[in-house]
Amino acid sequence: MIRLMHEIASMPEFDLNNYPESTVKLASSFKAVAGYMKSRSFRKVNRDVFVVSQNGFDMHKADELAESFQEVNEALDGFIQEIKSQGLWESTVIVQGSDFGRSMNTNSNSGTDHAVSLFYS
Amino acid sequence: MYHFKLIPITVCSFSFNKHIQGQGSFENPSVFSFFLPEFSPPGVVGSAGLVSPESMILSGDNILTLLDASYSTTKFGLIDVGCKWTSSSFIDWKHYYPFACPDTEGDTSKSPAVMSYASLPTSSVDEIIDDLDLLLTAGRLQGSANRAIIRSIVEPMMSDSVDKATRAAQQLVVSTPEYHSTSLPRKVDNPRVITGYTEKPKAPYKAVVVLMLRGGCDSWNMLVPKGNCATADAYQEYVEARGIVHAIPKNNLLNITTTDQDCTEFGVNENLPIVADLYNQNQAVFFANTGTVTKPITNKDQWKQEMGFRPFAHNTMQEMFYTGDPKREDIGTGVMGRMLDTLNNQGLQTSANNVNSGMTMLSGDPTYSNPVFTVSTKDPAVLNQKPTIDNLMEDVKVLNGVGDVDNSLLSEQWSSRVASALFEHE
Repeated sequence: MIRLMHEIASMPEFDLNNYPESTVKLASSFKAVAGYMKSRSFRKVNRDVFVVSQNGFDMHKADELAESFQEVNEALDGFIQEIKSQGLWESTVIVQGSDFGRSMNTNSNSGTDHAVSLFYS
Repeated sequence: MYHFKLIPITVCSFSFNKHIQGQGSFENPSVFSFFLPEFSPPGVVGSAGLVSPESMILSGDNILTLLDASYSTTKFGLIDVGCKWTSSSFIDWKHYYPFACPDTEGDTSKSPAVMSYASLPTSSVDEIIDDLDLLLTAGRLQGSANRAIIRSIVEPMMSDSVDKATRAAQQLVVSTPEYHSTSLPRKVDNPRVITGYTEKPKAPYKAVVVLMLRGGCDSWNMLVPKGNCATADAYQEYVEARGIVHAIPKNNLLNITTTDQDCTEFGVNENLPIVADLYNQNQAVFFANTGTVTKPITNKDQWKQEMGFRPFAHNTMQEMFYTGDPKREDIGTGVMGRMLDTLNNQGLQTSANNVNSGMTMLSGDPTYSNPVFTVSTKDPAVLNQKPTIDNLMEDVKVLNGVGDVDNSLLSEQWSSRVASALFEHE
């Protein structure tokens, strides 16, 4: 029994051999999500919610937004290709969010500080 | 208890490495270290309105690794977790010391550290258990149902080998809620029943995947007003406000257009082409100017008093994103957990799946006790190799059996997490 998950993961219908290669850590999280989505009929589930998170957006010093966005882009690109090939793209919503926005102006370390995106609604 | 001949900075049996076990020396993920003080886990602790910061790392993976590492140390001394040779913290060290996986249970000859502690030589099963109870659980096993269970498993092993029986007792004791919390558990002996769905779902499949960008993403440089604006040159205002360091040149922005906004031309950060492409295919939408302010406020100094939370703090605002509940009307639940509760009540076969940091968002109302599963990004491991006790994990389920109504909250928390970790694994 204890080995069951291991055996399931190695079954051919659950393989993700065509999943795009990536060295980005976030991509391995999305790959795991794609694997779970592929096992939906085995789990007998028809409404899945997944939460993935990525650290490193608190850019008080250098502006590393480009690198961070590139990682997000690469991870999303691979994931979207996979779920399109699984035929699940039209059944999937991807939501992206964050703590808050950042200050408009630059701080003395060439970074930006915390700001609020807290509009009353 | 141990005499170390050669000690690496990480103890490989326990692989003190946050990627394997949730925590590691010098590996705290942020300035908040490993645990957020306000973390309220799903289950009994959360529904009592209490917090349990350490529960943040009680994911299925971490629990199984912790238990397996404890069993391995008992059986083999310091070796790799599960002897899989995949622990990155250990691989470098291995090159300096010839390691191999022991072939037999109880073989500590491959371990670089020698276990030099031995309890008084005894052939009494009660003395062995009492000794471990004193050392590991501060007497909490005394007279408990779990002590009786451990005794019933260990006693038949005594005639064969006292050493092996002692190792069995050690592994059973470190699996108990008495060992993992400092309060007295009250439980019955039935394993917790967690079942998956048995019927094939009727409605077609749908999924939501949430990507949380932790730290406060610079949204001003994700979506930029670019041109054709009604009231003013918004791009020029953007450049003036952001300054030369952060303003993105117009040519580096990926074009998107819209209607019913002050500007019809916007730009997406060039490093997010997939987002711009999806928008241009009518497959993506931006929500700007959204948040959790509960009343109109103009004075920055009054935000904390007026709203009851700090709008500039990462931990608070991440919680706001996860819970969508600034007035705290449904404590202990997250926005996705509540949504799944509603769908589940309508007969849909739901599953809340946490990859990382999503427990708060996925927690539902305790009334419905919908579980939150852990999505493993690692290869599923085979637990408890070369066992001292066959089917040890079945005993672990009984040791962490159904709690009585007056069970201690932290014991209940640990035991319910163990049960769901084993369920996810199987």
